[in-house]
Amino acid sequence: MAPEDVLSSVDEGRRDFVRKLIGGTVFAVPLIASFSMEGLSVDPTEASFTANQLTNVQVVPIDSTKIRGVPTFQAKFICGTTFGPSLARGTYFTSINVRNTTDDSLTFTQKVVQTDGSRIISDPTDHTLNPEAGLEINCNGIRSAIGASGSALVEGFVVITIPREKHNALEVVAVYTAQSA
Amino acid sequence: MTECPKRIAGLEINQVEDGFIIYQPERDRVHYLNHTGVLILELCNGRNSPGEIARLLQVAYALTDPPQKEVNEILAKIQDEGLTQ
Repeated sequence: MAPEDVLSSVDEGRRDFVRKLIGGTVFAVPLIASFSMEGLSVDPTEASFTANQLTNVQVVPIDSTKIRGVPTFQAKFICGTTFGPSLARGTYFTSINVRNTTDDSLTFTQKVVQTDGSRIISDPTDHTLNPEAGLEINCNGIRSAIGASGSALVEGFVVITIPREKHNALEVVAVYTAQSA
Repeated sequence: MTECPKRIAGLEINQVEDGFIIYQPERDRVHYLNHTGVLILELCNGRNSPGEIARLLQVAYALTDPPQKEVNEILAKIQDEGLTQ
């Protein structure tokens, strides 16, 4: 069977897309990360926008680095509404998707570090994921961790650490959405 | 799992820097898939079984063996998310 046979196995109208999809890529473990648009909202009244109103969506895989020997993921977050000047006018959402890729349960520790204004650092919080399970850390959870209410812009990092012996056990993807003002 | 999964009609796939975004308005959910995940979704046209999809991936990426376990796992997730029927 040749790669052309792969193309013949997809719908005719999708073959150009699939040809480009396969071309120049190598196999990667298939990945899907799903999240609710409602979960991205800072305020439930802001969850009603549609895809046409999204000005930008970026998905950023977060690699781990070792800090003092501890595997650490540092995901930037931007949550809330700003009218400038450091960011473009608009409302920003962050959704950090975390997945345990192993067949064992995994406990990770989460801290939220605010880099603007009060520079608050939250208390560490432990989360345990069942094998292959995932969870989402969204703006609501981030605000709760640092005690920030309302919809004003907050920025910083969600810092996730895992035990040294589990250094390959976690997959972290950050999804950033911006809606222009 | 459906014998020959078929992706639901009307999905809009948008390429982003490191993968693809699918917005599912009826569930108000957004899905990020990498390129292999999207290829599997494209092969979900109601004519390919999970075994056939794994075999087609083996051909597409010149793999030694069909990635059946990985295909089965993501097919289950895709179905759970309502992207296939």
